[in-house]
Amino acid sequence: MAECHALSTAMRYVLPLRNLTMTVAKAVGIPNEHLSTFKVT
Amino acid sequence: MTLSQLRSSDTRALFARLSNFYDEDAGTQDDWSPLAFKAKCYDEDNPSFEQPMNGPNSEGNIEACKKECDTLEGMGVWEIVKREPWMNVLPCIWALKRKLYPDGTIKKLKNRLCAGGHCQTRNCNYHQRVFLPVISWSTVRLLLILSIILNLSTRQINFTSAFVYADIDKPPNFDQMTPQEQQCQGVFIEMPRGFPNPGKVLKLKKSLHGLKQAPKIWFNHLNDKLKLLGFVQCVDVDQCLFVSEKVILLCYVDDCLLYAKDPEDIQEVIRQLHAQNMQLKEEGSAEDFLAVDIKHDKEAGTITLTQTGLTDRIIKALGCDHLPLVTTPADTILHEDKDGEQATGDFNHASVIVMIWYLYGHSGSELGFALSHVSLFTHSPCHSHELALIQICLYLKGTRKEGMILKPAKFDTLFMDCHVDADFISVHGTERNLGMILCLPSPGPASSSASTIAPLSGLPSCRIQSPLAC
Repeated sequence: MAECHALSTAMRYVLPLRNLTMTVAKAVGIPNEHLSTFKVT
Repeated sequence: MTLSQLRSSDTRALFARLSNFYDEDAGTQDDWSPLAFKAKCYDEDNPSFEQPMNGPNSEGNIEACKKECDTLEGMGVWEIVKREPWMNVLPCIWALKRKLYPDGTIKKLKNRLCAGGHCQTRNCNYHQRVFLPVISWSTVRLLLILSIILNLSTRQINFTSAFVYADIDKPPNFDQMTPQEQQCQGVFIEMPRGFPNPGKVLKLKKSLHGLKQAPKIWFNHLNDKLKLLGFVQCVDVDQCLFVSEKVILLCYVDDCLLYAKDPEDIQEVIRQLHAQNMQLKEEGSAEDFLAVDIKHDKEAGTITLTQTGLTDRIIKALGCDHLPLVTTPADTILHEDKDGEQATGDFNHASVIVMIWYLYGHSGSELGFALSHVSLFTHSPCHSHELALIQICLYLKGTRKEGMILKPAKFDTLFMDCHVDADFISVHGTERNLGMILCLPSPGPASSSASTIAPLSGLPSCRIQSPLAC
């Protein structure tokens, strides 16, 4: 449960940053047709 | 009341100036005068109106005031109208600024006319939310990283006298009003001091410094102009991030950073902004943005963020030039210290903490733990908390030229690693359990934060992958 809580909290920061990265990557011509992948260990 | 019982060190210093009422033997202040606050406000470089207008530089100041009025009048910022009884007229304030050369001679007298925004009331002098979005530093850092990886060109621009270019706002139902009602709408200010015109006031047609809505109106104005140039505001990501087909623009009020693969694309945007009657100053590549020095070492492929100016201000504010350096920002866990000695330092505790927070957010992420602990006692600091603050300052003194180094490696794929550990910092002896999250766009830090989440011993981690063609 605690791990889920920590990961959930982390996602609040990671997801906007990922969206930002993808937006900027698209603007500078980086292809982003592939979906981002999440690997959780 | 004794001086030591006063919470703010500024207030203590203020009371101490009133030597006429201060009983040194008893250490008490029997009375005080509002003149003390006037004395506190006096600053030679930012003087009040009366003193410079009657001093040795009076002619220069009068000339600077005339120049400001002529400039604003030429831009159509106001029209002079007859004063009516129903008008809610705001005061007009001169903000005088004296800039000096290093040898102390006067470089420039800059007198700015401001509206008294402190007298504004909602739905009367302003009609919308007045908050202005500003760029997130995570976005700036990410763009800096990408500029190295993709070898992007950068340019910094600054819009001069930005606020006065935007039209004054109107009430939402302006179009449904009768012409007479529309005539009564608007923001009215007194005639500027030194330029009397009995029975007349100024009706603002454009925004003016000092108005509550001025920053927001400016941002809307800039947004409209950028839309005309083909920029799209990335509302879902960062409201101050604008993206066009070839150029990325970040804005912080009137400071902007531009990124593009081809420097000619940036130049074209600047040309178009000029064509839109936007007066701006080009400041070269991104080397100093929001008082953060950005040093780009192309050979090493690194960007170093430092804030020596702010660090010096912190050292000066705490007055610890003579104390020896330390190698760590904190070595003890702070407690409330109810029975401890009261704060005695002659500095503003909260003000220094805010300055260090700014440092932490931009180039000093290692200060997070020490700073968050000191901040817990900002409302009533004791001597032990002051010592902790001084320790941070002494650490900064030894590392004033150091900062955050971004060194992204060139990969075919852009990785963003996020390591989560809710018990990353175990704080024994307190009831707080701290968590730390670090997001690392490979491999330099772009965002970090501390939050109060439940302690755990596991280490969940995740990796986000997105393809990157460099």
